[in-house]
Amino acid sequence: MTLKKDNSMIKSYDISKEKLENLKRQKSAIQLRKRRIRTGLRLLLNILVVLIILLPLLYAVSIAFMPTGELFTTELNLFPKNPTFSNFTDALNNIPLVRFILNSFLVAGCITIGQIITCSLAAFAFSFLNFKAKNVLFMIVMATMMIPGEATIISNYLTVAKMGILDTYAVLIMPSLTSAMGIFLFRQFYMTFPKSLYESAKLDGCTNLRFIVSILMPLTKSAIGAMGVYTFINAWNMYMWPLLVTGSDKMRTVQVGLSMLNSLDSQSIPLTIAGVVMVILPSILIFILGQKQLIKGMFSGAVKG
Amino acid sequence: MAEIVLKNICKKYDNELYAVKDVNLEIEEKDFVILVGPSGCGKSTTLRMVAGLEEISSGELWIDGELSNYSEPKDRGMSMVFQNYALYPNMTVYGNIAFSLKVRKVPKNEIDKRVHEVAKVLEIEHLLDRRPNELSGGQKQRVAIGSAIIREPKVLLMDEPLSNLDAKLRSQMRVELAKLHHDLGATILYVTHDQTEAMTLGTKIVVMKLGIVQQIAPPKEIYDNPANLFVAGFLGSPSMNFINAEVHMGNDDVILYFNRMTTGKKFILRDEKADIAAKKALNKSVVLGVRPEDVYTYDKAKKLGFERNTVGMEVVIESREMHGAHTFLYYTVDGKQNSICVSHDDKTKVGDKINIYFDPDKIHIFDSQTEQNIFYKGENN
Amino acid sequence: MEKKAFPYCYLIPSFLVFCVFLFYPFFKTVYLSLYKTNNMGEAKIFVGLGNYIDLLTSSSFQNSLRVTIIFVVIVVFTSMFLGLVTAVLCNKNFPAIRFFSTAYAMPMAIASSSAAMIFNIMLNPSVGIVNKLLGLDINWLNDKSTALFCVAFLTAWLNSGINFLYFSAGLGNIDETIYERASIDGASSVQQFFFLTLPNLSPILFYTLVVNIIQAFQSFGQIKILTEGGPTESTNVIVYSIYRDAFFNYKFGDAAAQSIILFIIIMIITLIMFKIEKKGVKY
Repeated sequence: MTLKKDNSMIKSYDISKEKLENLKRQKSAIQLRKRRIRTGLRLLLNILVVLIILLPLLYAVSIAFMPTGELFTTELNLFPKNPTFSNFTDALNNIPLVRFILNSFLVAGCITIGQIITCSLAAFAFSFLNFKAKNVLFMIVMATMMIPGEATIISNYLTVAKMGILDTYAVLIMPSLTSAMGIFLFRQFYMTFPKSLYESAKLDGCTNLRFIVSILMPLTKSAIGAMGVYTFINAWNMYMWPLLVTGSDKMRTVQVGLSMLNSLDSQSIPLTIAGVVMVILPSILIFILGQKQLIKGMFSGAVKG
Repeated sequence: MAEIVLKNICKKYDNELYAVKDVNLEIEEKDFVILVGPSGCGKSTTLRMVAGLEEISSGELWIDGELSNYSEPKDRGMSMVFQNYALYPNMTVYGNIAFSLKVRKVPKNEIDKRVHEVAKVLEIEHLLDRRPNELSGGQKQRVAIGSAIIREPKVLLMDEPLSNLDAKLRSQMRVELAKLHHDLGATILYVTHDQTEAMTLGTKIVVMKLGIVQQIAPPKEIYDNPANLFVAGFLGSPSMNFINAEVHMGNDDVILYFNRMTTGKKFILRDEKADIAAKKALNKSVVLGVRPEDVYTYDKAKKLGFERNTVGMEVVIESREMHGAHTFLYYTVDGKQNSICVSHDDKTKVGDKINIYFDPDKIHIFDSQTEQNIFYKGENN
Repeated sequence: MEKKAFPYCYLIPSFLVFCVFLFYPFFKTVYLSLYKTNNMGEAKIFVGLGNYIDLLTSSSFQNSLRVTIIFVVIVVFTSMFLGLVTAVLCNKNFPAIRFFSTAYAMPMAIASSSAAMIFNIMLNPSVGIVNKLLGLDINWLNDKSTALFCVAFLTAWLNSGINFLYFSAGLGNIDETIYERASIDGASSVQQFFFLTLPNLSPILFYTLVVNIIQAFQSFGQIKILTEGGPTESTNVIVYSIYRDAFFNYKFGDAAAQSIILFIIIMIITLIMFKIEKKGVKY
């Protein structure tokens, strides 16, 4: 199959073989160096920036392992010389951190699951069903995104105080049980499915609820994943609302509970930071595990340039 | 004077597979060189290596006598039209056309003058203030070409520029491209998978398959003198007829027997072709190749005096296609669809049995093993 | 009848939550803002726009407004800059890119309160790493001239993670071949950035800007933990001022009025931005 091609037809330049090889080697070396410099520079810049971005976290980890004595020097103490776990155990002994973490898991978990349910139901109605005032209702949902939490938090506090449900899980969970963003995100995804998907399911005798659970939800796994990660992290990181409505250690969430450590004396800085590290860890883990889902779900439909 | 020489250019990927292997090609001033082949044949990769978008694994690229394997794309003095046009969506048509001059710091009034000149040539003056997303496919195409020619590049590279247009626009743009090439005297390296574009536009065609160049020649020569079975079958529409045969001597004649010697279907070679076949392919199995227009009905063959050369080739016409001046009749031999070109007033109907005759001066014989055309004379003549 | 009602059933869970915790409290806040309240937050004396007039003429609230605007400007500018730089740095493939992009997005997973506690130590005048690294002796959080910058920078850091994701998605949406064409056309990488990347990123830049502004207005945890509005009110942004007036001074009416003002500011900015977008971003 190969064609013996006569090289003599190709113009050859007045240059000996060795000279040519030399020239090629020279030029390729220049090129290689250029490329190495470029990649190296990019890598270097990235390392520099990543150090700046991660500095607070790395520093926190370092301090968490630092014996109290080592912290109070005027020297530069980037790394603990005698790493110790005692800060972690002390933090756990000083405040009921485990209880806080469990509270937060429970609250964030309920909020996440609750939002996924309420948002898929609403998004299903907005994308597959026809009813009066559909568009108006959807506009109202969208408009809620403009109301900052601060515009409602006072009245909400007064309401729940009057209802006498302060300092309960319910009060932590209920206000966050739905979100306009979630409804919007799911609706964006549902709109990409043809209406015939719903119609043929109906013809097969599928109920609406079953359609949502066994057809829509499996098809929108990436959106659910993205929503889940985002909602969980945000719920885990809630601060102002738990600060207002929880009073006892039994109900406190991690972020509020942690600030109890903060108010201890300055000798306990490493202990505080050890607590912070333990609290950050779950949200970072969930973030790293869910990052791919998050990007896929949040940006595939929602953001188009 | 622009002159590009590719010498043993290869592209090898990490997995040791060659995407392009040993391409040798010379592009001279005002050449319109077409790289053509089925998808995955390495034509686009070759173009991108010339452009500097893809690294050359081995071999040499000479631009005006200078080794340019490692030059930056911008220093190669070329411009390129992309398959998807690659217009800058944030700029107006004017901005798109002016861009390559603007980044080279050409004075503003000079840019303005040239942009209007180019726009006039391409008849897009009225579009200068629009943005790419407000243009039709054909208009985008013109803007892309305008942006490429404004710099008066040494070589204009085009990567399947017409493949995103509809059929009618495509043939219209084809004519305009040919005109543009003629008027501007530009040197063009053009990639396409469309053999019509290749045949109509090129001054030189490079046929590639699986990363290897099959033949380099002007359109007419590549059509009349294909180097091998692949080239013969790839160019031309409908495709060349291929019929399996064996070469044997009989009564001093060199004879092609179809379907073994017993069936009586045969073709008697004559003159130079007989000598070559006797020398190169005696007692071998071969493939007879003959273009539809070189297959005749009895009347015409008799008129030309070679009705005796073909014996017993009776075929059943399976379908009939009108192509304006010509009509093609299709039939099957050895399970392969073949065709004959007849005049448009031919009365043959589908289902008719007719005898066909081959033009003994225009046939090709391909070695079944090597698939090479045994009459192929090389590129130097 | 049943048939007609059933689509609304699917909306009930969401709208129940919206009504109880969003619409009702929102209108109640509007209502409260027109009254003087008692310690229990019950509306007692109708004062009309009195609370608003008091606020807008009080030097304390004017200070809050000023501080908030400075804060928002610093936060938005810095966090968008950080997000853009990191996204551009991670735009081309290179070794360990996955590690870097995870790291750049990481701050979005961190709670403002946790981050504030870390910054509290970093900025500590005697043991903090910032003074040690820079060789300075500044009491960052207790100095009127630096405290606002510190909380703003912390907020920018927190918000930079999601900005990185937005910009990365935006960069990914830009057609790769226009860069190939630009490199043949002769544009250097700097020219490519300013002529192509930035303009083609503008729709997403714009969207991110709006989101960032809204988010910056609502920062609370870091200020509560780091400065509590001080020193001498220099970090007393509106949200913190609302919190303090409502839950320390029990002036619920005043706080409600401030909430409504905040809402109006955010609404106006959002509307203006989208007006501009309709005019400005054409492609």
